[in-house]
Amino acid sequence: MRARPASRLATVGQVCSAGNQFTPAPGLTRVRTDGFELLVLPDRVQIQFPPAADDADAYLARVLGGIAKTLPHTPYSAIGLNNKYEVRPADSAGFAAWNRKTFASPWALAQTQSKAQERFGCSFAYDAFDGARMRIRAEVSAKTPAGAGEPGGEATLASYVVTLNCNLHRDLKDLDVEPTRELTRMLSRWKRVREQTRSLARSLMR
Amino acid sequence: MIDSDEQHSTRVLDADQAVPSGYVSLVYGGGSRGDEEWGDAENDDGTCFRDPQQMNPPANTLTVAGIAPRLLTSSNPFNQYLVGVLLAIPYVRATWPAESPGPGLPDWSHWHALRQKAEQGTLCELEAEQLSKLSAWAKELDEAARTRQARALQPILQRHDQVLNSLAHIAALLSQVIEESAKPSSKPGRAP
Repeated sequence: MRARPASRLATVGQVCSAGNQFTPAPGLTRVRTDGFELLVLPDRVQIQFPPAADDADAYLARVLGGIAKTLPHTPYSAIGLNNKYEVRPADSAGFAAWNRKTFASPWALAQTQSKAQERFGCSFAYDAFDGARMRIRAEVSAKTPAGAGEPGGEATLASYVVTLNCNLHRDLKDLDVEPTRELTRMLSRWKRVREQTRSLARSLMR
Repeated sequence: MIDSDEQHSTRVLDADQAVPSGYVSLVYGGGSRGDEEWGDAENDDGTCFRDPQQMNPPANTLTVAGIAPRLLTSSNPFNQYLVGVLLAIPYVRATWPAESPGPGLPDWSHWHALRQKAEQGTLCELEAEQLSKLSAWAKELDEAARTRQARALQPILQRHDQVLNSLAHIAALLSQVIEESAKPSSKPGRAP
């Protein structure tokens, strides 16, 4: 079996459009600019970037860092740096074996019957970036393409997607933490966090 | 059956083009922990998160939750300007004063050059006429900007006046208390 050329695969940029990430809610305020989208909810402010944004750290420092410095009396309780990867199988035929080998735990294997239709996910967490917690969750989902199941349509197997959610969480309520300073420190780690999570996503290939 | 071919399993996914969709959440107050992915409300050790009552900011302080939604949705030019400053967004909107550089507006450097020439007494008749027109225009725009600014600042100034009045009232009460305490006590048995 060979890996298919990358040009034939859907990229995350095609799979995830920035606008699909949010659920409308009462009290939601959204600001869109060329470089980012800012969302203000009653309990949080969230900034999202287009998938290919390279200068996100500059926006983070200016916008979230600026907000934190301008409004220091806000009782900031946590900051989450999130990266979400969606990777599609280049070779759907080998997907079941790869999925089992990569994610199936002994416990999960004990519950299943070694059939090709079985799918496995995984989650784990570890301390990272001086006081923060990295949480990784890998999920398999079936995204049925248009025309699947119809005569001449795409095979259903080809529509599996592995979603890798990487959440770096920093609690700002710890007594020894000065929230505004810690926020700034965490924001300055954005590029490194992104690189680390990308490396995690790539490690799925090994 | 499970396909156990090693060659297959190492080439299943293509992560080279896996550009992440990134976002950063800044959580405040008694909201959730910013943990979008797991959505749990407890820490790893099972302890609950800080009591929301303890997370209330001091009274009369500005917070994101308090001002951001109102600022962001406001049509008030001054508020919009504040948003621009807060978000560091280059502020160009249709509602922004017309004297911003743009098509159809005079070249003010020409006006400055004409004024300089006028000061030196080297202005010809045509230039004098141009200077007069431009000066009238500048005055008109200046007045319009002042009016707009005053209108935008009015609610803020009103609030400012209220605060000042409150402070004056507090100061009066304090001086009254100080005056009272300075008076000799009329109650029997009390130390002077």
